[in-house]
Amino acid sequence: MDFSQLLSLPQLANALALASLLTILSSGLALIFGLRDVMNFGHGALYMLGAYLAYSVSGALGFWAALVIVPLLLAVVGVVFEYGVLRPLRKRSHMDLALVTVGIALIVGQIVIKFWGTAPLSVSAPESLAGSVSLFGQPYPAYRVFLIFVGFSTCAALAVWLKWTRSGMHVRAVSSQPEVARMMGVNTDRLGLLVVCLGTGFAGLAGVLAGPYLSVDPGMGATILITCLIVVVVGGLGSIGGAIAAAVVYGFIQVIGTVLSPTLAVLAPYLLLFFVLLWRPQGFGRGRVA
Amino acid sequence: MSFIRIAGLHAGYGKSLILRNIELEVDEGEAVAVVGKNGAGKSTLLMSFFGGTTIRRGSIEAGGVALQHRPGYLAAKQGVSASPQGRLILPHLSVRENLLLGAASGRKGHWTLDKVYALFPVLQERHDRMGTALSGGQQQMLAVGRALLANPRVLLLDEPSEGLSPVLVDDLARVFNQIRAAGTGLLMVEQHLSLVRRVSQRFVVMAKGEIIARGRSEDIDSEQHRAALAF
Amino acid sequence: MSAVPPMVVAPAAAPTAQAPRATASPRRRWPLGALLAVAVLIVLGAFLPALLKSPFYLGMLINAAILGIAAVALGFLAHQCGLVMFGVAGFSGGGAYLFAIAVMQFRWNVLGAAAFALLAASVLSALVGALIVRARPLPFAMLTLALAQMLNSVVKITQYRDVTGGDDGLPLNFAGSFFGLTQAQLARPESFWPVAWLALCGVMLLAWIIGRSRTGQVLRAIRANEERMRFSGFDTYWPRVFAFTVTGFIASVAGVLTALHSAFASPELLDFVTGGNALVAMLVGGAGTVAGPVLGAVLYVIGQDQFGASGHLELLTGIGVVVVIVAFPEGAMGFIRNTFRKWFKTP
Repeated sequence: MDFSQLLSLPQLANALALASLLTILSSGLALIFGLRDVMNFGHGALYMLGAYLAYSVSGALGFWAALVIVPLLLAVVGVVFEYGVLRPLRKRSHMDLALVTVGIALIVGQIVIKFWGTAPLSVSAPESLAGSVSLFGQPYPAYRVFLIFVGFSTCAALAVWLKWTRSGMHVRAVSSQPEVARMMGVNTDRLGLLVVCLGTGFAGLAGVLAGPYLSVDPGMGATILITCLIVVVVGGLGSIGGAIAAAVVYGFIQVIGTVLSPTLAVLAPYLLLFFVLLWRPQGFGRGRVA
Repeated sequence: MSFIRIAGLHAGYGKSLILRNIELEVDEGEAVAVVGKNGAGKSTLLMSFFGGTTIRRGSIEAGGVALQHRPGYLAAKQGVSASPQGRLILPHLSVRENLLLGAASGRKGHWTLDKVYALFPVLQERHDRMGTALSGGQQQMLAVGRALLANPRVLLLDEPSEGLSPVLVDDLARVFNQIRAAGTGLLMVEQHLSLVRRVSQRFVVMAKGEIIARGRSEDIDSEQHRAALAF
Repeated sequence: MSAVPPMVVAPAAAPTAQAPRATASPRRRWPLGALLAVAVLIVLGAFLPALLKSPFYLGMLINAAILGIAAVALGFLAHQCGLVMFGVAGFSGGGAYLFAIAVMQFRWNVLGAAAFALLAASVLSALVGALIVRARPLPFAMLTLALAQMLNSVVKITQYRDVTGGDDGLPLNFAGSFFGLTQAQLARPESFWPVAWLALCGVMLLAWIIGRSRTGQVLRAIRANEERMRFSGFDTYWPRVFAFTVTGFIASVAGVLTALHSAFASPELLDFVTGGNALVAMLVGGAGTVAGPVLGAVLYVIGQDQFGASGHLELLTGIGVVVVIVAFPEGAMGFIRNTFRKWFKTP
């Protein structure tokens, strides 16, 4: 076993690129769960919608326009989601809401197929990022460096917002004790809307970024959803920091594990999920967004 | 007209009915105490302001604005804030953040962070500690300070003396009188009769979800009211 | 109200340790006539191919029966324990693969392989159940999903191709006869239908009997208030493990049937989308009765036939799920039941 090959820079960078995408997606999912107490099984479908929209918008206006427009479009979808689904059903059980989001995932999936067909699409990176950069003497795709950068800076920005701003503090308060926050006058409805839009917007961002990196096909939502769920749960539901850490670990397990032992790489995430969910048999406590 | 008017309130949790026909008024600048045994529904009454209960009948008004069947965060906006039972300090927020949370309703007024620190200097000393890393008495101060930052017209207090030593209870009484003198009304659920006497002007007795007696706080030791309290 | 159906509990409190019978809802004594009628129907149903000649429609009904069996499993768990399994495909597909391995690797005859698959699946269900049955509903659902996905991924690992057939699946050749039917005969709808039908009736009967039994009452009481049951002296753990085992068993029946009929074990069987079909069938049909999920399965298969080609099936499924949860939490059967309340009382 050539360990130097294992821990080579390109391998590490690959792990980080995957992790970066996952952190954006998982943060969104964790936020929505932490604040609205809903496990959004449609998150993968929203990501897919973002990727497909990015395909069309990039085709017309270029990648950079898509990078700005698509997350905004998905944020609008978030508004619809909040007012159309989450508010009317707020008194229903976790299970019911989860099932509704499953239904929505199916519907969104079909809408995507209806407009874009079932054949996989290819999205190319923008001109400026199409080449390679030299990473400590080795060539490495520039786009992936960009991806890593965007992913982690988004998370950094999120962390800063949560820790140092008033609204971020309110989000943390609501996610840990919503009744107390409400008593103090925090407008939980407005905050909930903001967070949902942020969550769906993040899904859109991840979709845009994923285009040139992974494949754009109708199955992409389902594939990444499971991973996302695992990352969020293992990271500690509702905890952004935890989701980020778990995403990084996952990225490493996947990239390095596939070389070491495919079986382990495949099994590890599920076993981790099992372990974490069983460790707290009472399951999901109120996550704290932090 | 009193700032707070509760009329014919029937409320509970889910299917159960706990409060029956509550009639109560609290004005700015006055302090009213609610006494009674455990389980009498006193905390339920306070929680009703914040959407924590299902209100079957009746109304709760603050400054003429109805609070029943409205989102729970409206109360703070209307000038009703609370130091709830158990204090409910958020453990993952610092002392300072806990305080600032109280200002979430955006009401401006006499109370600012500095004024609250002046009232409770120990909070300033420990301002970056986690909210629950304080002693019981300090947490109570935090809860009151937090509620003050909403610049309420009436402040609700649920068992503020719980778990506190007599010295601290004394301090609390002084602080409450100060607050009231500044013009804020107080609605205080308390079991500690001396606190009731020192802070409030009148009181009501609750039992089994109803108000069964009212009186002036200075009379609270008399035979009659003792008997009512034993209900 | 929830899509996991509310249970019918008599106004008196949860059963006490002394007299659960007295306070649980009254069990309808089925008149002998009705029981005989049902038995006759079951027997007659096996002879359906004599009436319905079209292999296509028989094939559709077989699909409905198999889907119905998986849906019954889901409905049983949902009704008795209030738990929804997102990953039922793990147990049905698992049953299929266990059968496949027994036939291809161990070279057992078809009857032995089928028995092995059912037994092994039940044992594994018991083990898994012992681990996860105490979880809250949503984590539980996710755990089962993870399990199914895990099996799905394992089966596709190229290293194990010889045993599992990898991505492409495993074609099966089995020797011997299954209650007198050879592999070739099992593949034909006309001859397979009795097997599917009787299996369906069998699992429905099983679910119904357990539901009416004391164990069923205890399970539903646990579902209503686990803590109270525990404090009243009931064991709240093993009954649920039992229920989960039964669920896994029933689901594996569906899988074994699929393997018998199609002589093929494919990774799609373990895909959560497949499991999703059974879940949809259960939701649409309603888990409150044993027949509800079967009704849902029939509706689903009809829908598949009508809309499968155009791709609208998934759209309809998605819409169906949302509509059912929002407006008809008790599903079609529950809706029918509520309309004709006095004719249908659940055990």
